[in-house]
Amino acid sequence: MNTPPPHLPSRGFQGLLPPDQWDELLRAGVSSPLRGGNLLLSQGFQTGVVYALRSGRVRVVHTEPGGKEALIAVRGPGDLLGEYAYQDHGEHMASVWALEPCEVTALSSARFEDFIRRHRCEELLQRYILGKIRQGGQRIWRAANLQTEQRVALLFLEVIGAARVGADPTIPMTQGQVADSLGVALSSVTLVLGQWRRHGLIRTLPAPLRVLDMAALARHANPR
Amino acid sequence: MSDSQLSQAEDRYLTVLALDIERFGRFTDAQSTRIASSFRDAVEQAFERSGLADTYTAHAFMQNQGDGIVAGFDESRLPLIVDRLPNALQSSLRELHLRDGSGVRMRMGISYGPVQGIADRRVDVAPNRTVVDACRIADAEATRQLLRRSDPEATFLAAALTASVFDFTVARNPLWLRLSEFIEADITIEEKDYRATAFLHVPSPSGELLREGLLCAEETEPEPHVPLEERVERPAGHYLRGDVKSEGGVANMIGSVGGGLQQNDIGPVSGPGAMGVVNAGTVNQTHVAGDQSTAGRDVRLNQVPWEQGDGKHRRTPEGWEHP
Repeated sequence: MNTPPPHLPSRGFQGLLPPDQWDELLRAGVSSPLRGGNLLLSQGFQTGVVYALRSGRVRVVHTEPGGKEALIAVRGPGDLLGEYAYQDHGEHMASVWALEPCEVTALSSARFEDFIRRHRCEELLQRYILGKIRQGGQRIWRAANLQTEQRVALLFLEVIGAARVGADPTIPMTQGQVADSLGVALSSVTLVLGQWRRHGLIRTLPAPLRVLDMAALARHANPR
Repeated sequence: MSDSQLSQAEDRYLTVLALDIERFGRFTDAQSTRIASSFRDAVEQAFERSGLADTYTAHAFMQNQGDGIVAGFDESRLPLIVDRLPNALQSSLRELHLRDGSGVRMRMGISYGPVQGIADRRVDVAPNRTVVDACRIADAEATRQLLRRSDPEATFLAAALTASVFDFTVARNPLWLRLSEFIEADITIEEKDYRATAFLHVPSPSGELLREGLLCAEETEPEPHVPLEERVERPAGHYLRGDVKSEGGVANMIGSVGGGLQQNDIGPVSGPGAMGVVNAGTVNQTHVAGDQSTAGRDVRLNQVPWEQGDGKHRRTPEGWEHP
């Protein structure tokens, strides 16, 4: 009997597709590495490209006219980037920066559309996009209603959850990026992280920040 | 794939989670459509907020009924799911309610044991004993009463563990949760001749639960409902995600029944209510009454190198190393 290939756990848009279709999507584009800290997508530009993230994590940020950044999401392996602009034939609504070394596959709109139509994935794509939109509403609510410590814990869990399965629980962000992501003062983040470090919840040096006690982080994220 | 391949059953031990939305029928069609998505998000979010995002992603199976979920996860994650998920889901659902006033409340059942599956990925897993246990304790009147007797603006989750899950996690190897945060309850479903012991937990008790305790002395008429186990799909075959391991080439003899699951119909093992676990050609038979674990299951549980979380709160089983 042929042994079925092991099923690799997957998330994001990849998690909605059969494994062979995700592979086919990747073959339809051009893959390239992206260094940590580099810009992948620029807000306000129209590129006609959809990206499939193969490895690594990125942060999606909206930059306000004054230059202030607001974190929209953290994305990881299996996610699409730029598909909103594909859907509405418009400009990219946010910028995407690599948090760590990544591998991305770039697909032209035509090739992406061909894939979606051939495999009748319109509904899956819509579901995927709607899921992202709902996350945005949740983030806005949390910014208005939750305390800083809980928001930091939730952000850390989101960043860790965006990594590939089995990856080390690291946060490849500076404290300044954490503060900007949450729209809070750096001093507030420094205070929280200092307490966590003293309690053995995290280690900040050497970089990147590493979570040592996931159970404690989860407790900080979930007041009853 | 040949018929023999289709019929060969693979046995895999899983942590099974059954989640059911309380009184889903009270929602309008428009609300139901919205809630069917938002509650799934809340569950996935709860896993993420427990530091278990990878566990959720790597689920062995997941059946979404629209008003409930039945899912299987790696057996090694059982302690972490028991310890962290109820609180995280209570928090997620509370936040969901505060955000949009949805009022979604859920009942959770957690079981552990063998789940039948075959190599055919086209078909979903069948509701065998492990799955049925999780569904029934989530559905039980004692669990339902926990939500009925609490404030719908404060208590959003009631959880039930099977006796074996409770024994192997909270009782013997506690992490954060303690024995005193659970209460033992007898689960009886007369029409199915089913009796079990479950351990109930409410992450955020309120209302009568605080005034009078988690167990209600008065017997109340159960509200009519379609049992969660009967809403679990029962197709022609079964599949599990992930590596499918052959246990010495011998088929699992549990499950694969049609209609409502009857104990007498479980597998070809002789005797009423008997259940057999086949492992490398040896059948371990044991009498099933209520929630007694099989000898085979107990041995299997003791051999599992469960992840011990942060390793700070429990003793290390012999031969197991911290990662």
